[in-house]
Parts: sequence; C-alpha cells; structure tokens
Amino acid sequence: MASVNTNIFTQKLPASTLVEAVIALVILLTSLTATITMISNMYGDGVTKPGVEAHIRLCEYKDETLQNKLYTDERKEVNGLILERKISPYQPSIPVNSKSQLLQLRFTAYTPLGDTLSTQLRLIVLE
Amino acid sequence: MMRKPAIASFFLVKLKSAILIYALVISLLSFLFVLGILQFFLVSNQEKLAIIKAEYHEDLLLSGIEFLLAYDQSLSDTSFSVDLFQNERSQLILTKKEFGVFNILIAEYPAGKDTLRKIAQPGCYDFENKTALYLCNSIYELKLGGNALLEGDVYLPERGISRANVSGKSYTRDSLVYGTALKTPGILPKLAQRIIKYSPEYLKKEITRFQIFTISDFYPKTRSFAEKTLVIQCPAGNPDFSDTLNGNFILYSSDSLIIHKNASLTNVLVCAPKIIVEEGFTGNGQFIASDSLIIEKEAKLTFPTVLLLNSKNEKAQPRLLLDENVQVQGLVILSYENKENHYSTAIPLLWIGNQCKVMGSVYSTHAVYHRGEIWGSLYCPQLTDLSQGLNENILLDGQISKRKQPKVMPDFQLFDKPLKSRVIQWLP
Repeated sequence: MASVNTNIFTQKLPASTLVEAVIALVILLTSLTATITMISNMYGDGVTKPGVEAHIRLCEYKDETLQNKLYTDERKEVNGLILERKISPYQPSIPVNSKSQLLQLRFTAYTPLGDTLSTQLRLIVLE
Repeated sequence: MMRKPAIASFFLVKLKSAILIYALVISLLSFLFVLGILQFFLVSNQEKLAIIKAEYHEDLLLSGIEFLLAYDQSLSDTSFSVDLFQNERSQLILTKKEFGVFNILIAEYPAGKDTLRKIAQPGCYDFENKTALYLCNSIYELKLGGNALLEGDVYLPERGISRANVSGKSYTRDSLVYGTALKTPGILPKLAQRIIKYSPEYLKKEITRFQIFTISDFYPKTRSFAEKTLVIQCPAGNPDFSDTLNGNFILYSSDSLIIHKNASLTNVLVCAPKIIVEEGFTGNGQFIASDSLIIEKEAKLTFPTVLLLNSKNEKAQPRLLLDENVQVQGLVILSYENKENHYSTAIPLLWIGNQCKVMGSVYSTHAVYHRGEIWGSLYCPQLTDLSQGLNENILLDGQISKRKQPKVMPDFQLFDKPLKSRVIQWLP
C-alpha cells in the first residue's frame, strides 16, 4: 500500500477553487479582527503611551506645585501636552468645622485637541 | 489498517485545498505571535498600571491626612468614612485618636484584601509667636549675668531688666534683649486641658482598656498605631527597663521606672510617678511623671519628645531635672498645683543644667533654674539662681533664643489657642 505524505509543507495539494479562496480570506480576516480587538482592549485599559507620558508630566507638575506652594490656576504647554492646574476651596461631603482652609488641587493633562489624558486630585491645608 | 488521527484526517481528507491549509497555518502562527506580544505588553502595562494606581492611592491617603489636619482642632477621638472627592474610588476611613499629649491621624483605603494606610503625627506651628521668655512674676527685675542671652520677644516684670554681677560673673553682651522687650501680663497662659489631664493617675485608669503584658511576658517589640495600644507593665519592685519598644506602647509602672541607657524607645509613652532616664540614653517618647522626672547627663531625647511632670501632691514637691549635657528636642512641662499654696512658685522645681540644650518650648508653673540653652520659648513665673537666694529673678549663663528654634521641629499645642497643624512625622 502506498504511504500517505502527511507533511503539509511537502505534499502536493490540489489547487483551490474560488469558494475555498473566499473561505481562506474569511479565516484570515477573522484572525486579523480578533488581533485588532485584543490590541484595542489592551489600550482600552488606559495605559497608553501618551497616557503614561501625561501621567509622568502631571506628577512632576504636581510635585513642583506642592514644593513651591503655587496655589493659583494655571494652564501651560509642555512637550506637546496641555497641563492644567485648578485650585478651588474644598467642599467636604460631611459637615465639619475648621479654621484652616482646605484647598482642592486638580491637575489635568490634555492632548492639543482637548482630550483628557490624565487627572490627579489632591487636598492641601493652606498655611 | 490503522486509523489515522482525527486532525491528520481533517487536513488530508476534508481539506484538499492548499490555500485553506496555508490560511489556517498563517492564522495560527499570527495568533501565537500576537499572543506573545500581548503577553509582553500586558506584563509591562500591569507594572505601569500598578505604579499609577499606587501613586493615586498615595495622593488619596495624603489628601485624607490633610483633611484630618484641617479639622484636627474640631475633631475629638473619632473614626469615620468619607468619600473624599465624591467619586467611588476615593472612599477613605479616617481616624483621629489621642496618644498621650500627641494626636495620631490615620487614613485607610480598603483595596481588596489589603488595606492601604498612612499614619501621621501632627504638630503645630505658630508663626506669630516670637516669645523667647515669658515671666509672670512682676515684682523683681530680671538680672542678667555671665553669658546669658535673650533673643526674641521677652515679657518682663514691671521693674524691667538689668545687667548684674552674679557669683562674680558680669553680663558680657552689648544689649540686654535681642528682640522686643514687653511688659508681662502678670499671669501665665493656661496649659491646654488635654495636657493637664495626663498624669500617671489618669493613665492608670486608661490602661485598663488595653491589653497588658508584664515585663517578664513575651511581647512584640514593635506595634503599629493602627492597632490597639499595648501596655507593658513593670512591677513595683523591678523598675529597670532595658528592652526595645517601637510604636504604639505604654510603658507603665505604678511606682517608678528606670530607663537603662541600652534601652531603645521610639514614640513610646512612658508613665510612672517617678522616672529616671539613665546617663547616655538616646531615644524619644512621651515621659509622663507626677513625683520626679530625672534625665541624667549626656542623655539625648530626640524629636518629638515630651517631658511632662504633672503633680497635685500637697505633701511633696515634684522636681524635673535635666542634668548636664542633656539634649531634649520637644516639650518640657512642669505643672504643679498645690491648692493650699504651701510652696512658693519661687522655689525652682525645674532645673536645666550646664550645657543642656532644649529645642522646643519649656513651661513651668514654678521657678526655673536655667544654665543651659533653650532654642524656643520659656514660660515660667521667674528665673532663679540659688546663689542669690529665692527672692531674685536671675538668669546666669542661661540662653534663650526663639530665632534658633529649628523649623523642622514645630511646637505642639501647649495652650488652648487653636493653631494650624502639620505632619511632623510618619508613623509605622
């Protein structure tokens, strides 16, 4: 009995019809779609390269603000990112009395088109 | 005849077209390739995400501590939950509790099984207070001798201040006061209620709420302030302590305690009617006594330390003694109430020896013998040097400088006047 060549790389296979070619195309497209979906899900976690970059810049901005006690509103451009600092009196969700003024510092990084990349919040007692 | 495996038969029997097999192989390979890349990015992203989350939690917990600092004055011992930024991710449990003279502030964030936590000890700062010396006995003029120094605001008796020759030592400086000389209001400012209440008698009742170990028991050496306080009790007949304690402990004795120089104490509350800190000891904590508190020479009590001698004993005078070369970074307080006024406030009950250095505030309801340096403020009825008798107001060689008080060592709430708070140290 003649042996069967089971090696798909060396065996001689018959040519394909149009239907088979279409099926092959569908398989490739499906796998491509799945790949794109997985990659997009990964970026959907919020850990995009621009997001991480914005986070790092925002941390530096926050540290500079706290170190130099720069408690004024500001908006500036750094390396193609728009960094914004907004200061407002803190409104607590529970009633408490205080003689100290508590400020809420909101740091936001935007793309030049205005999309928000990262936001950080911080409370600070005004000395 | 042997039956071919199912996959092989699928490829050989069902799929006769090369393009289909190649498409499947390419799909499989590309799937594996993408899976590998995804795995790599996933691990890398998880690390980045963990760092970003940790920073978010750090900011949230620090904001929680700032919240407690702002409301420090108006909150009593309490624990409450608050949504700090009114979004679901900023739910914190905030706690304020007393630990001796100090407050402890705790911010907690429940993150799954773990609880993230920040524990802070607040202090106060009072930029308006420039008081170096506050005397309330208005009869005797203040005489300065030797190398005495007054730097800052000085509240003086009506008769004012003069240079003198005390025990053969003349005053050496050009000016009498390096700052502003003011007239004394005549009475000492009252100590804050929460300081006055602390005494060995008060703590004897308080410690019954906590777990108590005797010194011979096996007990942990460190204790977080997020947990309940542990009490280590020394029996009356065995006052020596030479072990290590760090954190949320009360070291207590109903009679006396001798802190050996090899003992290691950090942020511990030490309480007994009589306390002796042996020569050469280094550490910090709150030392609360009622009869005597003696710090032997060369001892170094680092920031933040409180020495509190609080007595109402009508029969015997208490005494607080800082021997030669002692360093204290923090508060030194002597409060002695004798209602029948058996003992004059002119009798020095607080002694600050030669080359002693106190960085912080010193308060005494009775006269002070001062030969060292105070970098901060001194509040007392009068200063005494025994060589000239009690009826004099004398500062010989003693130095008091408010300007030299280190900014990294803020004060604590001495009086009931509300002050702004800030974190002086992070605790375990």
